[in-house]
Amino acid sequence: MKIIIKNLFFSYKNGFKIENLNCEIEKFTLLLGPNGCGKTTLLKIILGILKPEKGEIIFDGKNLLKIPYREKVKLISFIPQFYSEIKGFSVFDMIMMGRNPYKKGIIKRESKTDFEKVKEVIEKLSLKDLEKRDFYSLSGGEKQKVIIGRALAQESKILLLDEPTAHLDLKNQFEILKILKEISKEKIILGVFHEPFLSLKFADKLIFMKEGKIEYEGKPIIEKIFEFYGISPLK
Amino acid sequence: MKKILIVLIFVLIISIFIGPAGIKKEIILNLRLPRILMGFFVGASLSLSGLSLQGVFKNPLLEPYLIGISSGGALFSFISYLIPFDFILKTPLFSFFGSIFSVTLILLISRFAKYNPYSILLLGISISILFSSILAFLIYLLPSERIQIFFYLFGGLSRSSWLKLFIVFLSFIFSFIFLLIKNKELDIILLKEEEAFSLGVNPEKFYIEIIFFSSILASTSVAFNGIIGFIGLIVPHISRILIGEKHINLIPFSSILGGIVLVLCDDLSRILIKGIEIPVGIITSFIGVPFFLYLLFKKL
Repeated sequence: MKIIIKNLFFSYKNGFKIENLNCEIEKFTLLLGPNGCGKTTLLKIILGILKPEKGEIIFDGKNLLKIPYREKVKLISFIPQFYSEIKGFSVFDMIMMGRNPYKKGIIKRESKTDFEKVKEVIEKLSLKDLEKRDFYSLSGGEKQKVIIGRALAQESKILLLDEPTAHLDLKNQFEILKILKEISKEKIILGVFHEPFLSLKFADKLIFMKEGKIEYEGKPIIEKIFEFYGISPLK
Repeated sequence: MKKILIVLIFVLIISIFIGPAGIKKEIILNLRLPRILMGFFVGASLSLSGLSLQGVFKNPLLEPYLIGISSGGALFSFISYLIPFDFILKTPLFSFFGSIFSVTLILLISRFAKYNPYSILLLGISISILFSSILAFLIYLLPSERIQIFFYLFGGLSRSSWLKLFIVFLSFIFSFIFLLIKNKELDIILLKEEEAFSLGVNPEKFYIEIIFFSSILASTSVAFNGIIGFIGLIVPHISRILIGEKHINLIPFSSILGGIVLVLCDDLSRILIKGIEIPVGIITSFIGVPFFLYLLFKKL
């Protein structure tokens, strides 16, 4: 199972361009690069918010750029850097949002399957004790776990992450990465991470971008990180 | 929810007995009752309009009056009064097109700012001022015997009738049901754009639907009662503080609270100065402006 990006072209009005980008995303792929190199742009193109000028994004024999929106939201879920601070929603409500793409009819009521799926995710992520708590009152690590739960309830095949551990302490970063590693056995994960050294330990593949181009695609090796960031390791 | 329903019943009963003409069956049935119910549904409509606008644009400072929906509606309603021939629903239809016209103008211009919430607010205020100025200019050109229409600008419930009430009620109930059906999408749209998009709610498409219904709600209220500002700002904000942001609760709660607040403001407008009825729009502005400034400074 992999995502193949072929001859992708995209440009912003400010002059930034992605030109003829080609790469393959599989298992747990780490996307690194300096600020403004096009990482988030690439995530948004795969998600479908930004439309490229040319190119293909192939997954499971289908071009993701051509499939209808209703189908696409069942395939791809997204985890942002900062979660929205909304009040009055329980952990259960937040995870149930992940079932939205599956709700049918005008009223879009939750089905029995939706409830079962949410309960299953709550069990899986050990969130039972927090189930009724207001999402707003949770700690940063707990909130991010709930957002991962929402993505799991969505039953997507692809998980896109935009710096999901940026505001967490080391212990929570480690726990979230462990959960993601487990998830990557069933889903493709493409994640942008602010801190490359810890996430590298969990990743199966590394893609390094610079000025809209792929600079490196291959095994996640720490020496490559030193090379790209221009850091000399301590001897 | 039970508590607010009890408060509503209490306020409606009290309001029936408030007024200079005493308690006479004809006055209650033909004047006061339609006026009180009009106050309730207009308050509920304006509150619901503000609630949905604030939700989709993620800006607590938005409301139909401030972003020009009401002034567009008011200008076109006024123009409809000047047109000599009559047809069914003439004023509400004109008002609706006026509201849609001002919103379309705001959205078209704000596309250049990528729907930045603050640019929408500033554009809305500019368009609101522009339309109000055109309206004032048109009123200025009127012969002095028709200057009564000038009071239309202030907003008031004194011209209520059962027929007008029925039209406002229809527009409210139609939009209320639509928004209630869309409550889950309204919850999801509170999240970041990418999150909402990945959960199956396409913000750009959803904006259009919500703006359409916000415009229906505000424009029918404006068509018959003039501009009543700030209800759509204050009530959704207080409702969120009281019961959280879940729309399945927020939509009915803020509608009822909006109705209660406007009925109470209308009661005040009748009793504040003996023998004089102050247009209710003036009362809501007196309460609303300090509240708006409070929200603005809190945000800054």
